[in-house]
Amino acid sequence: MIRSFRSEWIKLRRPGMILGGAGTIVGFAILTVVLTLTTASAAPTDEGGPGGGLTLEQLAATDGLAAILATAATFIGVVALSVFATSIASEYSQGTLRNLLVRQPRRVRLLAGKLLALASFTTIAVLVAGVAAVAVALLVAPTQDISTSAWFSSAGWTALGAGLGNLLLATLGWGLLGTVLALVLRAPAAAVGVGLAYALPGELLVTAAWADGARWLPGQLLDTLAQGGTSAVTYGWAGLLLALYAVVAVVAATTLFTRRDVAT
Amino acid sequence: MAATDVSAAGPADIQAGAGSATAIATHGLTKRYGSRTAVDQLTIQVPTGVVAGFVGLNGAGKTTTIRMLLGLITPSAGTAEVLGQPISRPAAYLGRVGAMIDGPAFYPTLSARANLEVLATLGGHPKTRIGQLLEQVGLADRSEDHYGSYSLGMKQRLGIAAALLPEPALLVLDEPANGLDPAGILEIRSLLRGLADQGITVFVSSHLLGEVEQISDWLVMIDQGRLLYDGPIDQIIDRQQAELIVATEQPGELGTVARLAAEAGHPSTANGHLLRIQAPASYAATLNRQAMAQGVTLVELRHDQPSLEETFLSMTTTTEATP
Repeated sequence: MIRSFRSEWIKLRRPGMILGGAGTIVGFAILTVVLTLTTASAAPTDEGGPGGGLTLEQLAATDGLAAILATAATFIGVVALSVFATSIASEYSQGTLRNLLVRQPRRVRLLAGKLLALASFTTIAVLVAGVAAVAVALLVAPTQDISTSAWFSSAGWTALGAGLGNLLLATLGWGLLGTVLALVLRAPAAAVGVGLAYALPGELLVTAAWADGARWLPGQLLDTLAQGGTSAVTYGWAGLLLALYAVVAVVAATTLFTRRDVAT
Repeated sequence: MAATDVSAAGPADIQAGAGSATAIATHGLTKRYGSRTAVDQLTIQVPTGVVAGFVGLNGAGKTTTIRMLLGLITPSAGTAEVLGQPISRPAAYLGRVGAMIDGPAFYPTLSARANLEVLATLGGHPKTRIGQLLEQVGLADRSEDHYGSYSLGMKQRLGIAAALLPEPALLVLDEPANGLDPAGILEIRSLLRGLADQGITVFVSSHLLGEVEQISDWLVMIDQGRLLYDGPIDQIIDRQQAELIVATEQPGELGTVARLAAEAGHPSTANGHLLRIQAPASYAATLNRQAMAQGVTLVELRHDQPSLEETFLSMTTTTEATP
């Protein structure tokens, strides 16, 4: 598994992967911070998306930074979904999987090493995004007369750490969804396309029609996890159900990867 | 001789030629996709230390067989061993096997060197071999270029370099000469012979039968997933269509020669002023003496050794004609 991990990292350190994957995650985080801080108002709004709906009071609170990052969770998650799906599905479409399996026929080890490498890549990207977000927030907040003193209190650091942790878990959850799609569809464009269609309009439409959807749909639950829980769905419920979904996803992915013929 | 006759004669030859060590052995190996049978009850034995050609028409089941041998796809029936290990446990033997399957496949935005690093790291092979192998296949000066910028011939060379990474005891190559220019084909031929001389078994599938004939000393021939022949390459060529071509001074005397050949058990067919007798080269001297004794002067007597291509076409045509 370690050899698979190290081998995957040779591919992940390509400039295209760093700029296209990690760079996009960092870029989304910075964009979210700037949009949130420059458009915030005293009264709450119904705006969705990155930074939408946060008030000046909420932004100046100890968990202000974490709240900003949480609003970007779905967008950052979609990037992670694309990175995982592309990395794994392109092994099928490029025919490189057969080379990998000849050198590492223990398929579980190969898959585990690849996923661990992708997870570590994503973790680094999210942490860098967090650092970049804090730096940009420190530059932009004073221009909007938003106090940053609470962010750097003891409670503020704790909230930021928890927020980043939750964002990371949610992002990895999206990556796992991308993995399953890649293994089922075995084509990067199809896997990313289906993933995007599900994550963005798909779940939103279902949620609009099904009031209880936020309690059960994985994308909604991942969003809840990133926010540390909401008034409608608790953090514990989201975590429990997502853990169950993750187990099912890992079993399905492993079964598909180990049992299916590699005929491309 | 009919194709099925040659096939039936194969196993005896195999036992005689296999020696004590077998690199690849299959027993009734079968792969079905729905109602279509890609590989049908394939039983072969390839001894160690040979260059074995694996030939068949497109869609004959060559790549499917290779994929089963490498643990990429699961057989529907039958068993096989590679380097003495069952294919159900590919981890037990793939560390000693190098392979290029279904053409080269690498990451287009990585350099040749980085592509080999990916595989060397995964397989636990020393990275010091990468430079040597790139030199060996003539890619050293382009090793930092992206794989996507390579010509087909260069991609093939990189595929062969990747296959050699584990210092294999068995090298499995699927159409390694595809896309190579004549000089490249010559280099590959020399490389494969050199590897065989070092004791490496080479199992090479190709549709370039002339090429296989030149480099192979063992032949596995399949058609529509079924075995046609498995054995030493010279035996199939000798047995299949060895002919003596005869011309007499007087055209009317061909009948006398045909009778003499028939009495010796060699059928013949007249073709204009020539008589084609199905007989080995060793029968030529006997026939000449017998003809002279009958007062017949032979103005032409030569042995015609059919090429592998002619043999293959003859066998596959016969198989198709057989109900």
